[in-house]
Amino acid sequence: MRGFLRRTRAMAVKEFKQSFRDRLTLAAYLFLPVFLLLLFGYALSFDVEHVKLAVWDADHTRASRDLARSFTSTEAFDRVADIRSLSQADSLVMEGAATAVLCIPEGYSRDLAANRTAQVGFLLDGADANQGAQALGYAQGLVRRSDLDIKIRQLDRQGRGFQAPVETRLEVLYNPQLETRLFMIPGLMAYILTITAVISTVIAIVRERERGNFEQLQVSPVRPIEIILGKLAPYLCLSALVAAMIVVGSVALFGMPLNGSVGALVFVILLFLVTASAQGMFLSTLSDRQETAFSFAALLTMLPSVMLSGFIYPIRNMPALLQAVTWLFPGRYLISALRALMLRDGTDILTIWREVAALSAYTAVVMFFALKRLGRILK
Amino acid sequence: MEVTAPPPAIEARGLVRRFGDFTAVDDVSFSVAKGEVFGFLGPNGSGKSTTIRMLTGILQPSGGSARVAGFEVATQSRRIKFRIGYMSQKFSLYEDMTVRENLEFFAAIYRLERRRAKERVEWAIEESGLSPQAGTLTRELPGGFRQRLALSCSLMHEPEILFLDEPTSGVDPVARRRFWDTIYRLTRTGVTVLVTTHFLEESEFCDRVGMILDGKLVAIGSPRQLKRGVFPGLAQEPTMDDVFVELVRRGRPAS
Repeated sequence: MRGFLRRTRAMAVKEFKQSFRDRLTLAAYLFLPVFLLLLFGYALSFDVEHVKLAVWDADHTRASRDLARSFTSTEAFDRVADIRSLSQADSLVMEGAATAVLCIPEGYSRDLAANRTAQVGFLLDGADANQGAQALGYAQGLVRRSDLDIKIRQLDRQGRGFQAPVETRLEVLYNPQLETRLFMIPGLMAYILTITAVISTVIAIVRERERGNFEQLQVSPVRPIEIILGKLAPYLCLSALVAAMIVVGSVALFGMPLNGSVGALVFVILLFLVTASAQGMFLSTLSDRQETAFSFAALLTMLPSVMLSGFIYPIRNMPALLQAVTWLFPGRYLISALRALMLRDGTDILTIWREVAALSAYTAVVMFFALKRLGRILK
Repeated sequence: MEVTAPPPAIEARGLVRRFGDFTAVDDVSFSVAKGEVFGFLGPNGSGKSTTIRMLTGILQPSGGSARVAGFEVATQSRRIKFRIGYMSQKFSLYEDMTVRENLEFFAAIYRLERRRAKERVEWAIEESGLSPQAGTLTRELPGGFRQRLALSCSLMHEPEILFLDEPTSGVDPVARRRFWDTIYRLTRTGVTVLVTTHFLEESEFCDRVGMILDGKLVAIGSPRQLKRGVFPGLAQEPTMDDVFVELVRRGRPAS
């Protein structure tokens, strides 16, 4: 036991010294996560805003102008052009100068006045399917609103009151503005923490092998567990520091709420860092060259943390087989825990017990294989 | 009554190591007595390093067995590790750490008691003449200094047996001479040394020499025995160079 502590400590001290001596790499470990947070944090939003709208108003009446204005009074549409013909609309969309065209034909207000169904056209560039679908939804909503307003005014004029048959009262819980950013920041955090924890540890063992230091350890009485724990210590401290910066950054810069238990948040993040670092260690034992280890890390940890974690692509929309595959990568557990702990009130460690259990089991399995593998190389 | 000789420090019995179809070490048996300096002599790639790597537990033998310090290599490797020191031609030091830090690390890895570790580090710095360089990063040291540091690192825990794999390659003759002086001082304290080299004149420093050729141990004995055995009745004393060339010629008649 005394030997165990002595050797583990010696390993950790050595690793601390080595990583602090390499200032450039150290700076990269600290700077890169902040850079990623800023880059993705500001870029990441699937909310559709400022869709470029061209308006063809052939009616030229107060009613038609009201309709057009109802579009541009929201953040959703920016009126970029007024056009005089349908052919102009085609070329604008084709050039990309406009994404949507609102066409109000002549006779719009006349039809309204005569209580006939008036026609309005809406042209949409569907090349960007996500933006197209959301813009279409906005447009339909806006037209329906003005539809209803007109009806009410007409009935008013006829002296008959109008009561809408159904009134929907919507209350959105936890993310009242339904901002995609609040939903995505936890994914971004998981992505950044994966990169930090894995990259710092994936070279830990392979570097010693590449530089020929490993042989000296092989003839020494040092054990696999002592190497792994000793090497884990400094990189875990580093990742924890990065995690603190990322949490503070996402709250301060992107308005992420901290509605649940902060203690549980700290716990699950630290647990995830242990998991990801263990992954890095394991990958580091698989190859004898740093480049290979890096490729493994990119393919097996970083890529899945974007594609298969629920960060960008919702897991429930994936085919069943792919959904099953997502269980194999730890990112999804952290993301769902973070979403629960940051967005929902009153959440604590009990809310996320499944995630905690999954990450713990994951860590145990990865550690087991890392130790086994390291034992094989040490022998 | 028969006097029982003390058990040998190193004993190899039919050691074999294959890499795929290639047999790097082919049925090598020998033993080294306590306090002896035993040299492995042979051209590059002859199997010297592979043998030493099997004895130190870095490589698993494909066949045969070996005892080091009285323990079986295959099953008791952990007990062996505390009793042996190993230094290779690569001088496996941490280049981004200072001389002192390297020594401290190996002292701790071998579980030296704290005060003892401190003493040994000071001793090693003194002994290797590296006092002015104690705070220097290892990567900035010239080859001869690295070699001395690597040797000191492998001696931190005062091993009974020292394995040296091409310890003098890439080092100038003065440093080489100094190195051998250190080795001699060690053997006077009872340390057993197994050293591989391709510098033939270095084999003169060894008590006994084993010549390895294509993975096979082709001759074994003291330098004098080998010279007499290979060139019987020669008036002028041959050098180890002559012995070596002759043995290679006999071992590979076709080439």
